[in-house]
Amino acid sequence: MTRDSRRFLPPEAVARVSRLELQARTVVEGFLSGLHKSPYFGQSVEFVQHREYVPGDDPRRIDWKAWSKTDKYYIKQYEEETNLRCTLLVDVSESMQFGSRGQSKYEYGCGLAACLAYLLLRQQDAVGLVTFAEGVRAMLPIRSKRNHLNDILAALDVQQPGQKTDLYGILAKTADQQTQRGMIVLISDLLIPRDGLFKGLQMLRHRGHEVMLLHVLDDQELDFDYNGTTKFEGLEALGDLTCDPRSLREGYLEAVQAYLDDLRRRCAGATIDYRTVRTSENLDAVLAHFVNNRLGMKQTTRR
Amino acid sequence: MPIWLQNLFLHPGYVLPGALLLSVPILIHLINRLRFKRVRFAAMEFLLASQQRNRRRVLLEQLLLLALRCLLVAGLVALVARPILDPRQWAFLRGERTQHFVLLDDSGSQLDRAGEQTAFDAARDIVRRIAAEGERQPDSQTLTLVRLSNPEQPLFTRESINPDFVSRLEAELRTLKCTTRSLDLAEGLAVARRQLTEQPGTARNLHVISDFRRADWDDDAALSAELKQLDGDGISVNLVRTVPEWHGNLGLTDLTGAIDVAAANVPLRLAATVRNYGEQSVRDVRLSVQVDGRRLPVSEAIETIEPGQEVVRQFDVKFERTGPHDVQVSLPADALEQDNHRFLAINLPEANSILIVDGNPSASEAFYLADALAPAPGVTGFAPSIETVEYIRRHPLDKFQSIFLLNVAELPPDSVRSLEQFVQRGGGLCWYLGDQVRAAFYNDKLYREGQGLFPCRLGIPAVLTVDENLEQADVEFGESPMFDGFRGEDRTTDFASRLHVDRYFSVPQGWSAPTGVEVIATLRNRAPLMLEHRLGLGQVVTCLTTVGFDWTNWPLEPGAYVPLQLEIAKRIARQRQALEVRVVGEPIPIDLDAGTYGPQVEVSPPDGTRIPVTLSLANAEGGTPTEGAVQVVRYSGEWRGTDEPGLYAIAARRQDGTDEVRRISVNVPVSESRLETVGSEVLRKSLTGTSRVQVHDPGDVSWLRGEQSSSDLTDWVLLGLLILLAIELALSYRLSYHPTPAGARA
Repeated sequence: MTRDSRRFLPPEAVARVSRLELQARTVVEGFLSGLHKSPYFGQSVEFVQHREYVPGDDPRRIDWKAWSKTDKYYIKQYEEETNLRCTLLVDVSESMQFGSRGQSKYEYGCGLAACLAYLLLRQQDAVGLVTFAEGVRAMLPIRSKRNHLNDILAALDVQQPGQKTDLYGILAKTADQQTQRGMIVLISDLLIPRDGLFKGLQMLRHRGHEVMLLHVLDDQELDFDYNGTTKFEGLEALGDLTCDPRSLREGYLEAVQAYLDDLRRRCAGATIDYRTVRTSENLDAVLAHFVNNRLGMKQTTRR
Repeated sequence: MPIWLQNLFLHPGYVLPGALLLSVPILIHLINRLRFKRVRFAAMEFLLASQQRNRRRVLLEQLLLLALRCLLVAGLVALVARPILDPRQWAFLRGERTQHFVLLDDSGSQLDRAGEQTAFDAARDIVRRIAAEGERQPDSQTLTLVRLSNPEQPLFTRESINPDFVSRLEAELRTLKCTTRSLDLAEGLAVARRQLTEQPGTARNLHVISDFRRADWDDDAALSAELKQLDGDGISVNLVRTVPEWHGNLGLTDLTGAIDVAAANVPLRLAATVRNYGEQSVRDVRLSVQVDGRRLPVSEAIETIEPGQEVVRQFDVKFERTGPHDVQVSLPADALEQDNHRFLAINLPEANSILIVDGNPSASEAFYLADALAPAPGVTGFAPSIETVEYIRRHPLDKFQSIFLLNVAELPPDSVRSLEQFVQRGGGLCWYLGDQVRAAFYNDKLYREGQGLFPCRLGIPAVLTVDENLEQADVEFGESPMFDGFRGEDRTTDFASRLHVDRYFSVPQGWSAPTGVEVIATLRNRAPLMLEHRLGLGQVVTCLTTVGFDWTNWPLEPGAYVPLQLEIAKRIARQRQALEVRVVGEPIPIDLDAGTYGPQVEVSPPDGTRIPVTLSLANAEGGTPTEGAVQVVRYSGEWRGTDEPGLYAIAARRQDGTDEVRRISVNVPVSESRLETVGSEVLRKSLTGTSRVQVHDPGDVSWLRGEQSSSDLTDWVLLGLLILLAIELALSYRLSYHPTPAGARA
């Protein structure tokens, strides 16, 4: 792990995040015993139900007390707890390079991803990473080893940002890779065509993944506090515009708000966790707030 | 610099550089467009969407803001260049030039002096200033300069104002003199209006530069009407005052005396009248008298003259020799110098010839009368000569001052005509009757139904009944000025009581004095005794009794008889001969008999020059002579150059080569002595209802620079600028972004 890649995980953020636990809102399919509900029944202390024995079942699980009373073979089923398999999808395209306070959205997003990875790995969950720009830049498999964090941080360090293309392909590819249900966290500024994005997200949802959308936006993108004649140069070949930003601010804010409203509406419709994150907010605070909110949510039952 | 620009702004020099400043906001705008920040921005789609949606609005707002800023700069430039919003000045839009018509009051009151400067000097300065203001915009304005004394002949007519004209104007003003005449402002205004209305469509300004005395303004409806008419004609009138306040002034309003009968070595009593035209009483006023240029050692003093009061001082002057004499009475110097002097020209004849015609061949009555009129040569100044009735038809009568006809029975027709002409031309006639008088002739030929020489129809001679018991005097004198000298010590009564009348000519029963005939003495039975009437220029006194012993006892009472005859002689004396007093500006008519005089006369104004004048020939009726008819051919003409007060002499050369000098005293009109001014407020009040007539206070020349509220837009520009500034601020505030304070954002 290079020194540079470590910058995404500042010690103070780590110190604060370390106390948090990320709970999966839906059941996840893991390979380790963990915090999260598994769709499978396994060895655990929490009894769930009896089921009639069918050949092939482990005879060790037969409830002999029930056999003595009913003369039938029943199997006791217990709740299984497994670890979370989480894939972090981080946008490293050119538009993420924008930042007005010395920190770009890319840096912020990577910080967010690093913190999440640290948090998940710390609670024995498995984390994978996909960075994308014009296509998938890096793809790390889901692992739960502690040293996997170094790989993640290294993979986040992208030197040549590229233009974004349609996110659908990337999401579809990710969906294909993730055969087990888990959690998909998409960290992006979402300055892409929405239809493809949601098509991909819907597909992920259909496959049983829990999808979380962390929409990273710079303060200037949200507030548009520019003054004086300014030439705006599009970061992803969207053209240039020289204007007096004060005169366009109102229209800009309206457009942004409409865009955000659209995102929220669609996310709500697809049961996707959505949150707009300002780059001026502290990483740990955002994460803590987000994780705490999740804990309070009603957990879905298993299928 | 374009003329239209000069007409629109007080300081047009600032306009063109100011116009360049208009480009400053545009340049700033363009520079701002070039000096932009570069921002690499991600959310371009929203920015582009906003720009797409607001492009038109943003463009309009920015153009509006730019226009407002340009207007602000224009307003600032206007504030410095000072625009004039005066539709009257907009003639240049039609390619016309502004016309200034200056009516300069050069009446006598304009000589009112305050310190070193007279009101006329101030008026001259105002004319200079008007021209100087016009010169600032050369050839864009014209000036007409008219004196009130001669409004029909302008000094300059619609001269284009340029440096050349200003120098000519200066030369003219330097030599321009104020008259001492009394002039009618309304007349001048009428001329100005007529001339100005001849050029409709031009921007017309009339500047009336005057002292605006109360005497001119009060009760002068014509003046107000004229001003209102000027206003109605669209002519802007500036009433420019030259005198700030009412200065005290003493004026000599009259100098007169019994000049008609003055003669050498006979003391002549003159009366000078002094009036106080000021607001305060004046003490210890000393009148100095100059006779023939020599000041008399004594001066007449007046203790106090109250405001508005008139004081008459009488003094005697004695001339040692016959011929022309000048009398000048002067007052101490005050605000108005011209009315401190008054002149009197006296032409002392050898003697005042009186013709006495006695109908009685013995002429006994005539001798009494002649003795009474001239007890000794040179005592009374009268030189009576006793002639018969025939004399009247054989000799010219013009040399006589008056004629006494005593007891004349009747007169040949040509004598009657000759007498009538004599009286018509100013000669005096006195009738005394007697036993020879033929009443029928008098009634037919002399009375002529009131048209002739005799004042009444005669009845028959009547006897005044003697009544010893009655204390009433025979004669009762009326209020005629002839008897003024007898009143002082009640001498009339005394005289009348000792004066008896035995017989007299009665008038028809029921006769009453017609208009023009005055009964100046009656008998105790109320029958008229003495009558007075005028015929033409002459005076006729008629006594219905004798002048001698026949019917009265008058010659036996020399103490009353002599003064009475002298008074009658003075009363009827030919006035033209002695006292010819005129006011300045009034032409002196010259009318000479072509049979006696030649056409050449020489006029000597007070400055001592001698100006030869040739008279034109005219018959008595005023037309040109025609052949075949008996005509009285005369030379006639008039001398108009009487602007200077003083003594004028007109020397006419007789056919025999000798000269006859006629002397005329020309004085200033008393109306010009009233220096009371009309206040500006009073003037303005009297002009209520007019919109174009402005009154300007003395010394205030700001109106010349267009600094009047009506024409100057400074205040409006300032107000407009403030409004523009407010709009600009509001608009730019609205168009700009104002971040909410930290913490306010949720």
